[in-house]
Formats: sequence, C-alpha cells, structure tokens
Amino acid sequence: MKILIALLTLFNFIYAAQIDEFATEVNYLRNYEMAIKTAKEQKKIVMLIVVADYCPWCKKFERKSLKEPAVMAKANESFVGIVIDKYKDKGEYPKEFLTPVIPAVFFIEPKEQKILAKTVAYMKPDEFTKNMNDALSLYTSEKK
Amino acid sequence: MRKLFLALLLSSSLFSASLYTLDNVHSLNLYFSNQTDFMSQDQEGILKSMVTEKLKKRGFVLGETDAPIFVVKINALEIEGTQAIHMEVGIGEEVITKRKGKIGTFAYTYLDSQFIEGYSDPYKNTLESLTLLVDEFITAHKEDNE
Repeated sequence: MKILIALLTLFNFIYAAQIDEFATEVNYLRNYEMAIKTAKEQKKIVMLIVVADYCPWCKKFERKSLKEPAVMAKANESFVGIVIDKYKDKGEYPKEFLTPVIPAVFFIEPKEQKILAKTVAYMKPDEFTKNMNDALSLYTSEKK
Repeated sequence: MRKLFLALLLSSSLFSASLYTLDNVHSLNLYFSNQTDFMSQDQEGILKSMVTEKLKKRGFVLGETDAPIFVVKINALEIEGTQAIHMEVGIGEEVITKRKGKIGTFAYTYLDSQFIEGYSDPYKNTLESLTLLVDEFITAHKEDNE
C-alpha cells in the first residue's frame, strides 16, 4: 500500500501542472473553498492570485516576486495564499474573480468573502510587499 | 475606505521594463546581422561599436565561450515605395524546456523589435532606433538584477 501511495505521489509530482508545482513551492492552496475555510480557522486574509498558463507577465510575477523569500515569508505568515488559473480552474471559484487583467491579486476577508483590495499587473517584490501590508492594515482597521 | 481601495489598486506598477527575466546574465557574445544595403561598412561599424560599448559599460563580458548570444538583426524592405526597416535585439541561448524528457533547445530569452520608416536618412533613423532598443535591454537588465 505504502509503495502504491509513493508511486502515486511520484506520478503526481512528475506530471503536475506548472501551477501545481508553483503552489507547492510557495505553499499556496489550489482550492478556493479550502482557502476560505483555512483563513477562517487561522483568522487570516485570503490572498487569491489569478494567473494563466499562457501569460508571461504572470510567470514573471511568480518567479521574481511571489517566490522572493521575503514575500514568501510574509505571505505564509499573514495570509492564506491560493493560486488559480483563470481559465483552467473556471467554475471552481466565484465569478467575481474572473478578472479581465492578469496577473491579479485579490485580498479577501474570509467571513463574508468580501474583497478588501485588488491589484493587477506585474509588481516588483517591494511593491507587492507594500500592497500586502496595505491589505493587512485595511483588514485590521475593518475588524476594529 | 473607497480611497484606500483605490490607492491599493493604483499602487501596482502597470509596466516593467520587460516581461523576460534577465537575472544572472553576465556575459554575452554579439551576433550582428545587417541585411540592408543603405549603409556603408563604416556606418555598420559605428552601429556595432555603439552596441558593444553600451554592453561593456553595463558590465557584460563579451567573447566568452558558450555565453548567451546577443543578437542584433537589421532588415530593410520596400512597401509601396516606402523604405521600411525592421530591427530586432534579443538574447539567444540553450535552455532546458519543461517538455517531457527535459528537451534542450536554442531559444530567445529576450526579444524586442522596432519597425520604422527610413525617410530621407535611413542610417540615422536606424542608429537612433537601435540605440533605443539597446537602452531598453539595459534598463530591463538593471531592473531584474538590482
């Protein structure tokens, strides 16, 4: 049984889509409902990243900003990260996140699933960190 | 609340120098292809020198074995009596793809181009546009390596 599980894991690893590999690397989830549930439990904001496999700016955003160690640390400490493919994951997330411009990032308050803030386009790590901090401040001020 | 939302939305930069990733490109080999007939050998030499000097000034080491290729291609064609000049600046190098079997191939890992009219002085216009393309490459390289 253990061998079978190990083989399945290996098979998944070898044939995983790039978005799954990326999610594993940065410790983001791939399921919207799971992200909301986790964020409620951990009292964090959901940080939803919308990308597509054909989008070079999305790839650059993933490579240069989201994988940057300080950004990764901040994201894992203060947010529940989730990455979705705009088209391939269609139907598995609410329609309001079907944004015309990608990459896009939605900061979502998990209880009412309200969008606190949204950013679009490629951002450098320092710019994105500033946006994460702004979203956190907004969440804190709304809670008060 | 609305203001803060807007501020956050606008604080993302809509433009970066390039969609390519130029991290750790330190050495290059120049490949210069001039397919036009409007410039003299001296003028072509000036273009090559301009490119070489700008790359060296940025700190690139030129001439190392197996370094990525810095490609400069210039073509001219006539469209309904108007001379059109196409310029391309790019980096070509061997890469390992994510295809099954991790296939290696030669690929452009940076590419930028311009299409201009020659007007009365095609050489001068070519020099200006090529300078701009090389400057844009250097800006993109700086941004990715800062």
